[in-house]
Amino acid sequence: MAEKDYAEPAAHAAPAPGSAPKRRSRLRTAITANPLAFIGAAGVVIFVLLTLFGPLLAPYSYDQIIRGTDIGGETRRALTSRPPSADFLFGTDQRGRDIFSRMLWGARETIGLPLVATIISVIIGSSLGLFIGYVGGLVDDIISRILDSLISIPAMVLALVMISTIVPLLSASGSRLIAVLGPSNISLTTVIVLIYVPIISRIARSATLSVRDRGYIEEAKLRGEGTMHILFRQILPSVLPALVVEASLRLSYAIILVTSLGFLGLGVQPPSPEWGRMVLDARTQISEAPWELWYPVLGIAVLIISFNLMSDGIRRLLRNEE
Amino acid sequence: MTEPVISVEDLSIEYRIGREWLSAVESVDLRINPLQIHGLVGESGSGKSTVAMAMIHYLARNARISDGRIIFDDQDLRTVGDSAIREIWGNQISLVPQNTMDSLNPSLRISRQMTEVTRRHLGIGATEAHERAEDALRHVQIADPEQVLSRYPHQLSGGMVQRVMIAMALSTRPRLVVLDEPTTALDVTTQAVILDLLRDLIKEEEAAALYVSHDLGTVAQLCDYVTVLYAGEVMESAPVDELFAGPRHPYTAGLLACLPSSTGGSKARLTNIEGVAPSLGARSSACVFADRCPLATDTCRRSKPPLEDAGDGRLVRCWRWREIAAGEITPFETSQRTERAAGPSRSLVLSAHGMSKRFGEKRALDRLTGRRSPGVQALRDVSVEVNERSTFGLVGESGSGKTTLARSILALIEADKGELRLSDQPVSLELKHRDRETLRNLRTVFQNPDDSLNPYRTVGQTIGRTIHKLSLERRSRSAVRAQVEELLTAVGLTADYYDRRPAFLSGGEKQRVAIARAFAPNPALVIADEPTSSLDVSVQAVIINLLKDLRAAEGASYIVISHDLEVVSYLADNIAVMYLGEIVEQGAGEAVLRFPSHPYTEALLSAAPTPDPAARHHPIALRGEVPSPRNRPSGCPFHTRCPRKIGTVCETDVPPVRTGENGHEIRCHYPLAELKAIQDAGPPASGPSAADTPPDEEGDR
Repeated sequence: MAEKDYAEPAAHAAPAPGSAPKRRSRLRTAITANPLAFIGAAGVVIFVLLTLFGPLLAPYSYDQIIRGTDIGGETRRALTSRPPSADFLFGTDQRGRDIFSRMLWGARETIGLPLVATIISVIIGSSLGLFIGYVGGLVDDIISRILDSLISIPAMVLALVMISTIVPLLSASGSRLIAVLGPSNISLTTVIVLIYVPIISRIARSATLSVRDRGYIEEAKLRGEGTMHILFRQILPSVLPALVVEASLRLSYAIILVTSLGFLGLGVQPPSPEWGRMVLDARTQISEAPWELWYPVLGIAVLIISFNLMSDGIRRLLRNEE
Repeated sequence: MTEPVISVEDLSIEYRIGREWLSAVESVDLRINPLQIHGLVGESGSGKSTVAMAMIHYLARNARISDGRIIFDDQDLRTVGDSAIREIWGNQISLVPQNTMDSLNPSLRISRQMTEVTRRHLGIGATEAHERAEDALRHVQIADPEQVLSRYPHQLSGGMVQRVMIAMALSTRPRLVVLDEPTTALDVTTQAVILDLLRDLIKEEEAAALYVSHDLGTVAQLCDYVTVLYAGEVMESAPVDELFAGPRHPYTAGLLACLPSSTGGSKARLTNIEGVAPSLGARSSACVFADRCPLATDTCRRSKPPLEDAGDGRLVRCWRWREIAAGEITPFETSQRTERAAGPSRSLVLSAHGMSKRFGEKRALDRLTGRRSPGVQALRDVSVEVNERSTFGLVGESGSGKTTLARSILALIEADKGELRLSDQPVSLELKHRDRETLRNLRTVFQNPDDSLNPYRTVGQTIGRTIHKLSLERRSRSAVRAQVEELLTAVGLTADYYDRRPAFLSGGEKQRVAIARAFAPNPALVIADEPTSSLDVSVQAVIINLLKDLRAAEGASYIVISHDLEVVSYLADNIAVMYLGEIVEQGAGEAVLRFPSHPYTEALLSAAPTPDPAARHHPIALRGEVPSPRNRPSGCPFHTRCPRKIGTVCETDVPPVRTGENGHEIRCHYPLAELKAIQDAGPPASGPSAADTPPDEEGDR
């Protein structure tokens, strides 16, 4: 009771009109209050930039086998399993390809694919969750049960089944679009979407339930608003914070899934240099050329830690806002 | 002079918010004498709960006592250690909290929780503690203590749990009982019984009590001495009769003048205290009330008045109390200007006929299996008529179906049966079949201003959207904005509010925005469900005045729902009293409330706490609580609690509708004239109240 009495004036005081210098100092206090989140966010920004522009920075192509002549040498032999040096920042692999370039190219599959898949999942999942949460009744009962049964299937098993059935089917179809996108990319995205839509729609649904009977929603009905307006203009804003937190967390799980499948040899197919696949290929070299393993593993670890730190920071920020 | 049980000297408390310590309570002085029930009154944010909790040395984590002494039993509670304070808590000082359901452990039986206290503090054995618990429950008029002791908290009704808490608080014969809004969550009739019980018990146990409340009515009914807090400072403290008869501080005077009953039955405007209380940390060296005080002078704005002894044991913190006491100046004039523009016309704006609603039948599983779930009949064949330019008041306790009726009319709930006509045009019971014209004419103001506005949309977006959707002609963006700004001014806000979000508005401001939104498309009927129940007294007055002004200006009608009879009787032309889903009495406001005929209305009126210590009386005690609509009594639904029950006829036969003058109707076996005669003869013998109630009847909630 006592705390409640005083919570409000404080909330009033906090966002008081702040001049520019004041805002800057607030940013600084925000950073010092939560430095890890900002390190994570900085990491995420760097990784996303690499995804977008990595291939432009890469000195070589991902599947180019580098021969001595390429770096001014005389031999035509492939430079296999070279340790890191000024020429090859991360060294070369057992077939003579530049690991640094491969990682830059591979960021697309390792980060880009999960990102796209997560975005698709969030769009479908939140729309579905908003809808069934708002409509309720029999529709909600039926769809919720279907989603529950999807959630109950272990992610890895679903992925294995999907990939072993879909990829051959897609490859056989002969469609140009599929060929351009790559059958394995499509199937991986489908797997992630299938796994995430139920989870995200469940979160959107429960957040919707908590605002569905609010006065402002009833007021909207009483002025004759349509379902679309109520869902996306009235309910979505209050559901969004929960969705943002969930999406940022889901993204790092999607990266883990893609790299894990890659490591099992079921993910993005060669010669695409997806990082999990690179770990798989380097596994046999662990004693002779350990750097082949180091860099992809380090890349995956830093990537996931960055995303987790950022999502933690987002959650804390939104909680404070409330 | 007697030694006080507890005395607080110069108490200051601070809260940490962010990195700062902000002062919440400043130099409060308070003394409670033996046998005294001391009322601590204030609006939300005044620090009343903080002071009460500090007095028993129990503060929130982010609070600290920065100064002052709390003397209890010759020692300063601030200096006694943790283990010593635990000996005092529950033994010499006990607490009856606001939310009682939270205060009992849901997984332990009542017996365990009650005996724990006595065994711990009195050092008695299990059997003796059990016997004592039984005695204590019998003391709070629980008929079958053995039954109650063997139950879990959730098996008891709210009123029953409150009795258990009181019994528990008194079981160690404490010297001080702190009552923190103990009846806020209860219905009026239950509240009346509990307050009556508390008053007697505290005297009987020779304890002293601190009663914390925002409700001046209950304070007047219960307390001997009152301290008024505002913005963390004592404004005035005085014996209850003197405080209510002649307040010496402008704030106290304002609070009293805000109450709908202050107009003495005339429909004069209520007094408004302009402005809002200063927020935490914004407190200056001036008098804290100066900004809102109509009598403030330069002195008031420059320096803080001391808390002065005003004689007869009264304390006042005001520079001008002598002038006020001498009657030279009056802080808040109650205007006698009655304004009644165009009186209610004869034509109907709304007629609802035979409205019925049953809940709990439409579960998917039940439909598939063809099973009929028992369900709850929330509305039984209810008919109401609202005249143009009039206000229709709906009164009843929780579970009476008043909100269900309102929501059925709005079609937020689809009634099972019934016929609705709006301005003589038939209207669908389903929202999706209502046209724009119907939506435009039927608007509503919700109870809780905090959830009636979307926190993510600005005031301008919220009201503008309503205009866009419902107004008759298409308007340009700037025309809509102009209209929104006009509406904001009409509800007493300024055009600056256009771009604000609800988080930056106070409760009263939010409610004004909600009212502006309701009136935006010029509706014919506005339904307001408890429009002021979550607001402070001073804000309530502002909103009530606003509703009244808008009715005069816009020519709309209202249906006002409230559990607060004062509010309804002040606003309404016609009143209907509901009980268990049906209307037991309806008629012109004065006829219903001044000459109550139905025994339930009579009991409701008697239970309503009047803010007048001189009008203290034992309320008509209704037996038990409102029965669950699930097992509705046969015959007259009120027969289980009716103090004027005739006999078996009430149990078996549905009472006929008796009609009086001017459409006054009641449902009772007594003819009107006969009822009036018995009521004039005096209140029913209020002897056995809860004592003879079979516990099952109350326990199954």
